[in-house]
Amino acid sequence: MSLSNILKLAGGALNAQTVRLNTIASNLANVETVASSEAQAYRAKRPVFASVLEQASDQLQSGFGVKVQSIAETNRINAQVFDPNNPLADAAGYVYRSNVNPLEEMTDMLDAARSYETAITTASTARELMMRTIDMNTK
Amino acid sequence: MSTIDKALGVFPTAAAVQARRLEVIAGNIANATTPNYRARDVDFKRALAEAGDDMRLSVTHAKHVETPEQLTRDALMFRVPLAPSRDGNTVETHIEEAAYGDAAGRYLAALRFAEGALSGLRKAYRGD
Repeated sequence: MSLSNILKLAGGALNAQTVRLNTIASNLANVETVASSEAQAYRAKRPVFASVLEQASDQLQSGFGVKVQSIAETNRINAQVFDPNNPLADAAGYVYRSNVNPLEEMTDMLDAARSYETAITTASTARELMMRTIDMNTK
Repeated sequence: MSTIDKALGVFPTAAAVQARRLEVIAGNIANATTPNYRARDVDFKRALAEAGDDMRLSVTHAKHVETPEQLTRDALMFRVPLAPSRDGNTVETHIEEAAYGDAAGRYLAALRFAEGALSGLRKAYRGD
């Protein structure tokens, strides 16, 4: 039945958005992280979503769900900062900052939160319609 | 076709098509940030026309259960986006939300009409 499938789809969407919020939290936590080389420096992470065809028990082709395919790292360069007093500084006195842009993360977080809310609304509408169908002709 | 089926008319099929639409649109909303995902929707007219064809299992034995109308063939179409996006995703969340509300309303309407037909039948059976 396709209405109950909507709950599955919305659950997948909630899961994907949770992963996205998690990576954003991790990125924001590491805004000020420094490292002694570019290779060790923190790079902002981004989940990559992919659509999946949910296999329904009946033969109907159903809606497309979403899953987290991978978590990619952004390739923006890590800023080099001259800070010879830092214990992590390299031989030349430089530390490498994380490449997280807090503004970008905050807007991404708003978008993720809105997507999360939309998925919840989708599920609750589907649930209401299901209940309404069950209660058909009982009044 | 049983009497109840005849009395219900097209409404169970209409509700089934709208439920399918709801599902497809929910999939679109779930994939609002998936790269290269293309939003789809059900072509109601085509889906209803196809469901109207002889899509039921034939009942040849007293113990056979008549199958409800099912949409075995697809009438899925890609939605044309209002504005292109760089990642190839054509889901426009506001449009999908509106379409979802539209499908939910139509589903409820179909349900209401079917209810009306059923209560008419009930009245006739009771004779009051």
